[in-house]
Amino acid sequence: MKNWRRILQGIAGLWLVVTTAAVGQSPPFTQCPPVGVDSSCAKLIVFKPNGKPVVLTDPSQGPYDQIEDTLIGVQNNSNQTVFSISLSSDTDIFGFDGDGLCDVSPHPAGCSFGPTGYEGPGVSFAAQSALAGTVTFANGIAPGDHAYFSLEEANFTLNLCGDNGTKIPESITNFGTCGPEGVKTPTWGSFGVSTELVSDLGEKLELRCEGGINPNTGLPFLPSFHLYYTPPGGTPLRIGTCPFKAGCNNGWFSHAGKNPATGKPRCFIETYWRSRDYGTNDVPNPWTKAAGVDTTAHEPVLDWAVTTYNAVTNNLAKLDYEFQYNPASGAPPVTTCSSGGLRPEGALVRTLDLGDPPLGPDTEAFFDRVFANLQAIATPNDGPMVEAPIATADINSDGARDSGDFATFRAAFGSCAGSASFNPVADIDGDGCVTFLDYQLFLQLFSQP
Amino acid sequence: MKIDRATLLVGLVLTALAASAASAQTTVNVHFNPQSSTISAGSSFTVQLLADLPTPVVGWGLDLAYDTSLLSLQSVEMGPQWFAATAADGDGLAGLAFPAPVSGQSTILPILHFRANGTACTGTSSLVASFTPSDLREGFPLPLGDFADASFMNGMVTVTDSLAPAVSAALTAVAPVPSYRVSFNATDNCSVSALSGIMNVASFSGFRVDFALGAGKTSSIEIDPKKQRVSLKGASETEMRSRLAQIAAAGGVSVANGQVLALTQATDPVVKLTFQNGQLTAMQASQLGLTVKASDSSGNVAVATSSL
Repeated sequence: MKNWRRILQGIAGLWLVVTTAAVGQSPPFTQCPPVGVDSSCAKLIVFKPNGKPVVLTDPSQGPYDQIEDTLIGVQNNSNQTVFSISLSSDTDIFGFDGDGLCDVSPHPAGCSFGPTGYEGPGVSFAAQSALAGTVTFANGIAPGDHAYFSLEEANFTLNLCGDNGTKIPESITNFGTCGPEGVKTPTWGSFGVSTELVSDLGEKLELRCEGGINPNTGLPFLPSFHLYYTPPGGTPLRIGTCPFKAGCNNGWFSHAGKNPATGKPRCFIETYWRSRDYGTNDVPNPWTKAAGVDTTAHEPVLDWAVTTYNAVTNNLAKLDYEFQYNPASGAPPVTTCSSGGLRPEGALVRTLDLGDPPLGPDTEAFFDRVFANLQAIATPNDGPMVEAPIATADINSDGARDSGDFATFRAAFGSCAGSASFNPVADIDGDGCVTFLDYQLFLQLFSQP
Repeated sequence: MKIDRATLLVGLVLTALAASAASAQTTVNVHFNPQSSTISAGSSFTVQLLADLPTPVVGWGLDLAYDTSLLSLQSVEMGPQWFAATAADGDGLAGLAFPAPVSGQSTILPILHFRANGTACTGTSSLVASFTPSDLREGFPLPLGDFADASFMNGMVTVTDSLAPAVSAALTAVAPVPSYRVSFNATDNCSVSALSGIMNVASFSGFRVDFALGAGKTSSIEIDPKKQRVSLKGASETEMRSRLAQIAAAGGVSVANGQVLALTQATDPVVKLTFQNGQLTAMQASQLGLTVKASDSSGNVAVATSSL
């Protein structure tokens, strides 16, 4: 119960009050300054607290040039930084022709902000075609902050992955062990078995087992799982890895629904990759060492390396969970990923956030360091990395998906990292709290074959 | 309860299809049943929090506000279609649907068990349900990742007080004879605003008043119905007149709870009252009785008596 006195004071004298909790944004959209004949944004992309984007329109704000150009704002009400967004339309919104927001009067102070004249402060464009492209925000739009830019055309429908309100998670399974090296052929949920999963937007997901030869020793590297995401028209970038010897891995991805015409996902929303440091403890931790975090004081612990990638905002979050190791007194240690339903994780010690730069050179360098750290402690006798025998929705790790998993999830609902009831297994989206977002994912993953 | 995954799969697919077909912004209407009620102070009552769910949701989480000076929430009983979940802000108002999402008109979310036992006792409180959009443990989550919008209609509870206080009165013999302890008490569902004890004295209106002033601390009043005369003995005529006026107005002599009096029953109808430092210490009369009167803040009055 929050602020009841203020609420009651606000409705003094009334006993029937109707309130509506909507997106929380209504015109005028003041995220944009006056441009041309517009006094505010004509369209506003809002990232809601749950991370879902929604595109709103202010019909009172026509083309700012009174012909065909549109002023667009972005409001980030989520708890993650928005680094970029990929937009598409059925008209040539990226067909810039010299009448951007900096080319009319009035225009914002500081113009121009980029080569096309359509950019707002800190904004840059990468068009795949006149109909689709990526808008990038320098340093990202922090939670609570906003940005603006302009696009060509008027009265168009602006498409952004996930703005239809649908998010469907699917498990990545049947990828076996890491070795032999090469592209894996996992099962991508309901999309079946293939070496890659391509969306209607042209994005691509791949899972590879990669090794090579260590130039210093001449010995083969310990091969490692790498999950790759390729943006439309871009190059593959790593969005997950197994940084542990004999690590135990789970993965899932979500999309905005299957296109019945193509049989493909319309677009990818997010991915999740989790590696558990089962077996011997990897010291120093290749995962946290890559982020410069000293965990020596907390060794030996059992680590999880978790990456969540939001393809809508280009945000790659990297977390390390530290657990007490083999807590059951007298119980045999769980040394391999396939040791039945026993879990070696004891109480959660802490969670480390390893930073979230936008997917690109910084994250590639991070994964390079993780891989190098892993090789530094690897030996020829190390067992391969493997797929976890426990499904993501098998919350209580008993090998079955049933009401026992729901009971375990329910016990953790509402908690966040640091509280006694927090259970990272129930934090399916890896955001540090067990919320309705996790429950939505749990129910869908629970029901899948 | 073991849930078969195939059953769940069918349920989820059906509800997912339904959810996809419907607008993601379909509004959930939240209201109370009864919307308005009047209850007695101190009593317990229940209110259902209902929701019209046009499309399936997988759970709900709400904040609840009310006037805590008037009401207290004793317990929360989950509606039959939900499993209780922890609400991080302490409301206890969160439910999860399992295995299948839930939809339907007037779906019971929780049943709220209140008690009207606040410090304010009487008055009116709104019942205000809401959720914080930025709190992802609240709201009405849809199966496929988004949340439904919601509109809320407040409830109202009026707390009245028609119950009189419960009063007790007793005259208990204590040593040495003829000593008696005056005991009285009152309890109320709200609060006792006034409580008084009176040793009864027969009416003496119209009697002749005689004074016999002296210097001592002991004063006395003798009421003689046979002679229709009141004899006053004390140090001050003004004080004695004042005391007599108080007795006439109250129908007797004020006494305090716990006070010990010497009470002597006699066949003679003459009433003799003895005071030490203005306080009644002894009384002789043919009928000796204690009357206790209590009232509460709402004006409800109760009387109890005790006699020898």
